[in-house]
Amino acid sequence: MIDTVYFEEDVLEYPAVSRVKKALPKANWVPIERFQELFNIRNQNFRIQKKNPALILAKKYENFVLPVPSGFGMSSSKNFYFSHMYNCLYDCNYCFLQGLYSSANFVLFVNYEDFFEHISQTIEKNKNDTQMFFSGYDCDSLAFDKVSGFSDNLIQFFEQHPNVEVELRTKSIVTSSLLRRNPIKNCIIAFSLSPHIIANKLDNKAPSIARRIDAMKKLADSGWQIGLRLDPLIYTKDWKNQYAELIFDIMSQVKVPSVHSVSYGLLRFPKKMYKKISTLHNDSGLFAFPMHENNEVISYGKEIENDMYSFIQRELHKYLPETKIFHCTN
Amino acid sequence: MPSRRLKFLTMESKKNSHVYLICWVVALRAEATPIIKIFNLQKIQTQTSFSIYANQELGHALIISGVGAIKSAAATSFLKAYLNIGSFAAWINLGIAGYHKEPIGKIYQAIKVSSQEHCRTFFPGFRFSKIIEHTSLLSVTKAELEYKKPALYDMEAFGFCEVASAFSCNELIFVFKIVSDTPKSSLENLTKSVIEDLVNNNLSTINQLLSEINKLSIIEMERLSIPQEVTELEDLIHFSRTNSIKFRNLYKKWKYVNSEKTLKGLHLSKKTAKEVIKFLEEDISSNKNTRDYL
Repeated sequence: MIDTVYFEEDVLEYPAVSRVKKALPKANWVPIERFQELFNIRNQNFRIQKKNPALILAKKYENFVLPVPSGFGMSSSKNFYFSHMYNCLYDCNYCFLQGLYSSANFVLFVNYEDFFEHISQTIEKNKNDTQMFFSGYDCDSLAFDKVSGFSDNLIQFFEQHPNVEVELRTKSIVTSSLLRRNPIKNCIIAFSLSPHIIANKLDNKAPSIARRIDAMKKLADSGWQIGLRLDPLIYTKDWKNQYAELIFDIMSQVKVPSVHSVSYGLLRFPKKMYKKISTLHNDSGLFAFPMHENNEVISYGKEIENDMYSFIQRELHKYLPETKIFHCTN
Repeated sequence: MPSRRLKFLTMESKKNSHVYLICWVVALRAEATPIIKIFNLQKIQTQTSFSIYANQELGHALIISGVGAIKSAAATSFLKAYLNIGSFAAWINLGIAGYHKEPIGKIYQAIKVSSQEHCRTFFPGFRFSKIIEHTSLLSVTKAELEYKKPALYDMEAFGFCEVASAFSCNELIFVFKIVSDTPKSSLENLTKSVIEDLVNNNLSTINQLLSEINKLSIIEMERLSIPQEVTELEDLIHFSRTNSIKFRNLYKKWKYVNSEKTLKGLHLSKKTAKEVIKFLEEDISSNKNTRDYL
């Protein structure tokens, strides 16, 4: 449980703050001027901080909606992302957030209305294109939802905009608020998945794969569109059997029409980020692998990449049409 | 040119002759005495006006800074340089402080340390919420008599944080303060023995905190430590700065898959840094498909 909430003094009027107060009644509240004074401190230790992260409540002023990096989107012609939160409750070894931020504290931007205002403007500006919005790039979309209540607000907003799609990416099984309401056709609940042996080892603090598949099945059965995100693909000794088993497990429980899309991508990091993360994990096998560098990107290298991609594609094609399968390159 | 001793401020020692995990910076002798006694710290002659006490076996070092932020900052720097303290050490500023409310004698962890004079704020330390209550602290230049804000008032923590945060990671910088005066109980009642009692009465909590702080320091020490066989090989073969970084990174990977092997004798067959690096790269890449990297 979060024991300390740092808050910018001008956020107290936002409804999200009242919700946080109710959800964390025992927390110690400490006023701050701007979240950066705490979040961007030099010489922070991400690993130690991750043992007891604090919550920072802040107001976002700019960059509410951004275009996704190339190679990230799916079939829509315009793809955008937004981050109402920085950092994640989980502690996955490969997570790029530990290389992106020097702090493990959670930042929640509580001015949700401003996000929706900027998303509305983006929708209007690009009304002649197909559009998709991604939530969960800098955080897990649902894991903090009991405290933040963000997804309820988000779904109410996108219900009014049925011509654009929104993806909530998650490893969480906190789906009760979704199951309580009628599904909307343009919202995809996208689960990040790895074979259970890999997830047990690397997805620290995250729900097990069996529980994620179970949550996915419940959502699919109640009419929600499901996304499968096999990203990052992790190379290990027995990876073929493990991934084949994972895809079989999922597809034997979730019906094909409920699957909106599957995307997959290899473990990859920008070079600087890889250096930073690997110093945080001295004893991790993941960072002991002899990785390759190409154009400032660190990955397993072409040979493994081709091998894994063609295998995953073949396995997915056993269950799903080509039109639902996407390859993430960035 | 910095003196040999001061060079330790800018570089990590290859071999830590003494490993100090806990460094105390304390303003008054009366605040320090209970700590000196309980950890059996022995005085070290420094030929300066700073008094340093240490117990190498227990890994504790303590400096008495005197009152004020500048003295606290100077003492922190001096202790770091004098004992060649590693960047995995935890730094603790312990002392008495004014507070806006009773009770006298309660110990707090200050998790927000500000100075109105400097218009800056620090957020030191991993928070031990299960052991100790947290609060904010204002470092002031004169003893506070009005206690207008809901915060602790002291005269050292800001100077301490400013300097200590350059030596170890922020999560290993701690400010613990014991309430000594409040609007209802003035500073005038404070004597040496009262101050000693205030600290003595909190030794149980301090010990609990130290047990947790030690664990964090050890985690950091393990993360930063450079194995002896690495430094030994670097002593035998010339490594440029770039090659040394490359070698150390490769070594970690090599050791992960060769936990039983050592680099002993490698300098006999590999004469240059490039040869060593090539050897490690080739060894790591061989059989990569049959190893488990989870």
